[in-house]
Amino acid sequence: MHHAYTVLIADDDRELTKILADLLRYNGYNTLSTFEGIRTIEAVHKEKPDLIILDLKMPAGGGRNVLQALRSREETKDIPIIILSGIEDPFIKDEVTAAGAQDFVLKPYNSEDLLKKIKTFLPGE
Amino acid sequence: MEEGHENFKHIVEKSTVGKVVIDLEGMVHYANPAAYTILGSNEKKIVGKEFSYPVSANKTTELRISHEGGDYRIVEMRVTEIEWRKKPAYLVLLHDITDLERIERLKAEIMERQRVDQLKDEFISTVSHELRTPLTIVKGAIDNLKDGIVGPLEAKQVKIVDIANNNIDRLVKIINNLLDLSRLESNKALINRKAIKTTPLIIETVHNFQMTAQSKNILLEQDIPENLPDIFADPDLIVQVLTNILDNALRYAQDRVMVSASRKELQTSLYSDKGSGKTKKEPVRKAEEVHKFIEITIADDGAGIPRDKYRDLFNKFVQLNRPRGGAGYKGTGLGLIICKEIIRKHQGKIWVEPSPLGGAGFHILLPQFDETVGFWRSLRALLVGARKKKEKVCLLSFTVRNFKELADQKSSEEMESMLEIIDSRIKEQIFRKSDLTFRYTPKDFIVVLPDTDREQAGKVLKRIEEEVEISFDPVPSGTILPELGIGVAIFPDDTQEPEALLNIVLNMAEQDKPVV
Repeated sequence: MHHAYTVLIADDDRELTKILADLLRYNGYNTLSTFEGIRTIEAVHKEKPDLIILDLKMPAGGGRNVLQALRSREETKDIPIIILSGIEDPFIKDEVTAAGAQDFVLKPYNSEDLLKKIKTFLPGE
Repeated sequence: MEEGHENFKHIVEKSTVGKVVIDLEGMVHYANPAAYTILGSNEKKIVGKEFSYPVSANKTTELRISHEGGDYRIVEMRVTEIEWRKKPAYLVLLHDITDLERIERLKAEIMERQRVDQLKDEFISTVSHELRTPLTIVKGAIDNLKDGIVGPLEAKQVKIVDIANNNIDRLVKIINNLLDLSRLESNKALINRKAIKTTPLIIETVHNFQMTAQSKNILLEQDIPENLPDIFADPDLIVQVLTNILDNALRYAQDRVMVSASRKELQTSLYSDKGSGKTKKEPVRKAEEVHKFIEITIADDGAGIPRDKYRDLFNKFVQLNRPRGGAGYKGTGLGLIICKEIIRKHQGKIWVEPSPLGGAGFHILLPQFDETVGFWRSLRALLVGARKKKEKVCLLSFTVRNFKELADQKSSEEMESMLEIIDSRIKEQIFRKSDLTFRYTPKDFIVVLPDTDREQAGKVLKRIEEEVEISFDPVPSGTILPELGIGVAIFPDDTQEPEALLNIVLNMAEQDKPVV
């Protein structure tokens, strides 16, 4: 029996994190939520989540800073990160994957697609 | 002295600057022909009369002079003090700056339009981002409701949630379409055109709709010839267009949708050749001015589109109330406009006609890939990039100098296989993805090496030469071997012009081996 994976949701919109957390919990994941950059980095170090869903625009260190900080440390550099952002720019996906994110999902997300993506990084059951 | 005076008079008479001499009382004593033109008058009306405009010495003023018939000139008037027939007088110089004024005004208008366009783009992308945030929550919440995450729903509730869900999806589509359109219109869209295989592109796109067609009991047929020539296009964008049109066709069709494609040749280009890579400076131009296209037709047997709505269809925010198949469906009203923009960006054309099946027939013309145009385009893009990065680019040419001699002695199959060997030996020695190879004429093989200086180019040259030599060794006695001439040019050292670069290497290869 596999232990349940923990997904950290980092987005400054608390309503969104709640909706997302409901979806993920219903699908068998444990969830954690953070609402700003620095707290996100702290939470990752403390809780060691299995995957992070990260917004780019957040107070106290946006997603880009979080990404950089997590990728530069040995103990966090391999945690899969999916960027979930409303920034629609033709280069954004290349930019965030070059910075170390595993994937990019444009808001609004489609539940089914998002779950599928999460599953590719957290296989088993 | 007399001759000098005549010359001087001649110059004044021929000058385009208007010259008027007036005395201190303001009476005109002389005016040259340019002055008449500028003032919209003639000698009789001016000389001996009072000058109609206020004059102050050593000052420059701007005048607007109205002519008969509503025309006007903008004139810069400069006044200097002179002596005329031994008396103090004023020389009035009149410069017609109407055209300059117009150019300035146009410039200002263009700048203003650019500023407005930029504001519009910023506005659309900001609004789109701001809308996405609340939309994400609404969509997420509805998804959760629908999936029963917050408890099971009754059938009636499912229906309501489905309606909400469909309309959220539609809203998302509208936002995405608006952004697409704004990007296409402001030329910010990334259009990645390359040679793409036409037949599989269409067949695969149609294939993706077979399931939908079956579920609607519509027969989706296709008549796509094998091996259609390549088109020069961005595959993602063309698939987007085909998908949009097919989606519409299936929505409005009764029983049948037919997709067909064929080659089409037109005597004229649909658009000017600006930007297509053809300029007068290019060393070789095709003699025939036939423009080759692929025509794709998507026809349905639906109710069709009223003839007077053909144009509206591709205009902003026009949705037709098409009777059949569209029940309950609401589009974004932007799909076809985006299609038109995309096709226009490809120097193509899209239009609608009645279809032989009885409904609407959408036609798309896309230019076939022309290797020469493609080469010039790639070369230009490469040089622009190199200039920005301050890198060197090396152009090499391998020319079969005894081409004629060989052709006389060998069969055309032998010739072609020999040239194929040379072509493949060259390509084998080109490793980097950014390198470009191009067979400019049957006997000229061009290689473009970005970020390469003369020394590095020498190494590549040597490698290719050796490889080609080995391929034709040993040979039975009596056969003649291809004699390869080599040309090298470095951008920007030798020249910055792509055409000149090519001329250098072709001439060099034709004449003597260069010292590398």
